[in-house]
Amino acid sequence: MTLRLDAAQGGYGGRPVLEGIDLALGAGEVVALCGPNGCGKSTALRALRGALPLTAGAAMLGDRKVTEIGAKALAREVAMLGQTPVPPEEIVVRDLVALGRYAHRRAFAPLAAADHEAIDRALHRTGAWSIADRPVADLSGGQLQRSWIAMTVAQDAPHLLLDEPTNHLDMGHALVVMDLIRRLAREDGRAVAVVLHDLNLAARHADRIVLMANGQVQADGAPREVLSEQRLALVYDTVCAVLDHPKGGPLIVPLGSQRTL
Amino acid sequence: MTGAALLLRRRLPSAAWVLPPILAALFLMGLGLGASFLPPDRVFAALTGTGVRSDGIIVWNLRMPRVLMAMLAGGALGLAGFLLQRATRNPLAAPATLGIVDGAALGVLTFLWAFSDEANALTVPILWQPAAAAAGALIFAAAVAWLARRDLGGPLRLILYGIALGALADALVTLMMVAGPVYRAGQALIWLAGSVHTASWFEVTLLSSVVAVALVGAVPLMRPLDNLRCDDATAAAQGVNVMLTRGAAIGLAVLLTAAAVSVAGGIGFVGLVAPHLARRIAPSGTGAQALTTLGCGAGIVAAADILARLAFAPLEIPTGAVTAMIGVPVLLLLLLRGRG
Amino acid sequence: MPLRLPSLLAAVFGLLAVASLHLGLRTYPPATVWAALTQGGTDAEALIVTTLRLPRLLLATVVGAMLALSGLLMQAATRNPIAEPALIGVNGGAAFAVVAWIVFLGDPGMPALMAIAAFGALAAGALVFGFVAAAAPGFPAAGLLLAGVAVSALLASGVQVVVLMNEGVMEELIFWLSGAFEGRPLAGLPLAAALGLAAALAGLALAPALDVMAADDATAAALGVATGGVRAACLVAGAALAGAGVALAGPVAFVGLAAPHLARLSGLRGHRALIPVAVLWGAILGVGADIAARFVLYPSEAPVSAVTALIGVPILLVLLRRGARMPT
Repeated sequence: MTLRLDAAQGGYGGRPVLEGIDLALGAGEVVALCGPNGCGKSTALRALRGALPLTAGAAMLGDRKVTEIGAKALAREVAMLGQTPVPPEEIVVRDLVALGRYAHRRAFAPLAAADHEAIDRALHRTGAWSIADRPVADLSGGQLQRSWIAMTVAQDAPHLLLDEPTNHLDMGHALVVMDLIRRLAREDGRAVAVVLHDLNLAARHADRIVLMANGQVQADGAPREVLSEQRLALVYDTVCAVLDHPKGGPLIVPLGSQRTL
Repeated sequence: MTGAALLLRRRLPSAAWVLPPILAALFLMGLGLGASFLPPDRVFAALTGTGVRSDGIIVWNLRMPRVLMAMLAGGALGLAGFLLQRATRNPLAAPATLGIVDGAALGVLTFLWAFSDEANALTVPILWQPAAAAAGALIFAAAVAWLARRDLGGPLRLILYGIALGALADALVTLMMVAGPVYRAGQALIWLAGSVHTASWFEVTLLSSVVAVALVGAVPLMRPLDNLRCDDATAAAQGVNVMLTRGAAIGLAVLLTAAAVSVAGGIGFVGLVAPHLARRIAPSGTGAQALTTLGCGAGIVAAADILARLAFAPLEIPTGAVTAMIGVPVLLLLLLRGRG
Repeated sequence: MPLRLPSLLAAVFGLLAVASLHLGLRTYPPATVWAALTQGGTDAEALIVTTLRLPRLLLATVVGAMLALSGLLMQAATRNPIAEPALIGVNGGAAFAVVAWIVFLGDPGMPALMAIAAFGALAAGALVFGFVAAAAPGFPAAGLLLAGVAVSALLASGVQVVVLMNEGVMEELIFWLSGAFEGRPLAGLPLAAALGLAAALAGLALAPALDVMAADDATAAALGVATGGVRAACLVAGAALAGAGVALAGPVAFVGLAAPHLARLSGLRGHRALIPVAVLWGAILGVGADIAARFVLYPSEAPVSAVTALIGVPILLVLLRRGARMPT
């Protein structure tokens, strides 16, 4: 089943943010949502999850509207990690990851063997195994982000939506997280949508970049096609040079702003 | 994080086992202590029906309903506080801080005021009093929830709304007391201060059935409440129906509070302190903490009731005054140590 | 700030003051009131105006202004918009001290009672502030509120228990405990007015420091403010003001919260402007509540604190809804 937005329009309290968005996630691919601040990237992600009331258009999972799917059933299909998730105050990593199993658990039953397996797998997968018994409050930024991703991985959903997962991470940790996201798509066949500010991270790790501006999709395609000097100048008001990355793909170097402060 | 600090954080996982013996001891003390002291052997004899007849009357008719009501009211308020703290993700939430206790008191006073006749007698059965308490509690809880609907997670503002509306209800209660004629106004004053000494078996039955219903209703809430420890968006992404869970938890808390307040009056601080105490001694599961909170609340009020009888004997002081005197230092200590 | 707002408020206060002499269980025409004020006389009307209504007008004015100033100083000192005598235990401390002294040692007369109340207020304030400072540096609003509500509840229980021990004074104390401007001894009024004036002048002198302390402590210290000293002075003055007010008129709630916020709501910034306007608002709220107390339960007299809560709570709710200067 494909998760997609069909001509979605919507916003917050009457203020439109999405002005007709079409977007589809394919299995096994990483789609990066990029664009300037306030362009509607995060809002589009929330719309995909059915967390944003739409004024027109729809978010569809296969042939059903996501808003018509029950909370647990939807959680088994689509996992999402917000930009600033708040962990419970006193909890260890393993218990945090276990929360991701909510939609799979049977009523009144303790965690089943399948749950424990999924939790262990998620911990191993994300490299959070060694910190599984540490209190969340004591983790570094990179470890915490890994724990959150482990939680969404434990949810075992074929669609994964991540809102700026590399926020507040240094260069090295950001790369580790992006490699992990890429493997989750490649090896498990998940459809992953990730909001990213760093165009070079997006260009290196995404199969597809959706470049947004003013609540609309400006371009949707392979990084090389989307990230042209002309389009970046238009969307970001910034003069960029698009070079060749030593390991392949485009490399964006901002040269100067067209805006005057 | 060092290993030692880790151990401290993990706490003693099984400290909750001390609760049942403590509750049993409090139960027996509650039966034995008071204006006439009954040593344990006479209490046991009375319980098994082998003792003196007057002992049996004291134990079965006077003290047993009182002890049970103290425990039930304490458990109900503790559980209500637990549900509210989990539903609002707010360590300060409690029936009293969210204005629910004052709302219930206003409901009862309005009831007494509206249905008193010239001769200070009630014109409708007293049975309706719990319903009036529930209506008042529900209205004030709904008003607080509605006012804070946009930032239910914002810890301070929610409590400010609760305290503000509680003060409003309190002011109206004061005005009604002055305005009169209130059916047995003096008793209303004592009841407002929180008291279990007039407990009857009827009230015990009423309260225990409400607590039983609420416990059954709380069981399916335990798991979503566990996930709701994360923020709303994350919990929703995990598949939790956030609004439904929150509404049901607050509804149960209102029901428990109204039942406890309508029979035992304004017993404060149990709802706030019991969940914090339980967090310190219970294993980490949500269900286990709910049960531990129930036990802690029951223990606090039962102990307070015993102190209320003995501290200034022969004068009996309001149970609510004692729970505040026990609860406040405990709360401050917990805050100081846990910085919670 | 042009003088428009203070003059307007002063005019409102004047109107209320005049009204409070006219209105009540019986309402008198202006001629009667004027004659009573200028010529005195011993008829019932003149006596009611000069010995009942005039004293309670003075009391309501002074106590309202003192509570407003107390709230403003505490809010500035703790950088916390909800610091107010009733919410943070200061009123409770004063009330407990007064009740305990009267029940165990007898009524010492008003000036002494004011000192006792101020001491109780200071002790409770020190407990709450000391606790918050130890548990959570920076006076976070939630911590202060929780500690204040907790200590208030503790003291209220103490009051309940102590009152129960002496049924003789119970009735009078219970009336006073819900706030009363009516029939209170006026012996302490000049002293209270002097205290309020001194505190207001000290506050004006410290106004620039209070403005700077709206920033964090480190910034304020870097700008040359002795933050510790200014904070201690404000808290002591605030507690003393509230304590004296409680001794005079019982624990009156919400004036200390509402008055400073009403002053801020009119767009005023800076304590040089805020102090006089908040004091005016306090006097207006005090006299307004005193008038309302005569009519809410007409012909009975309503407890003042219930009335100030009825006025203050909606104001607090509006403030919270607007999110004006309120942390979330």
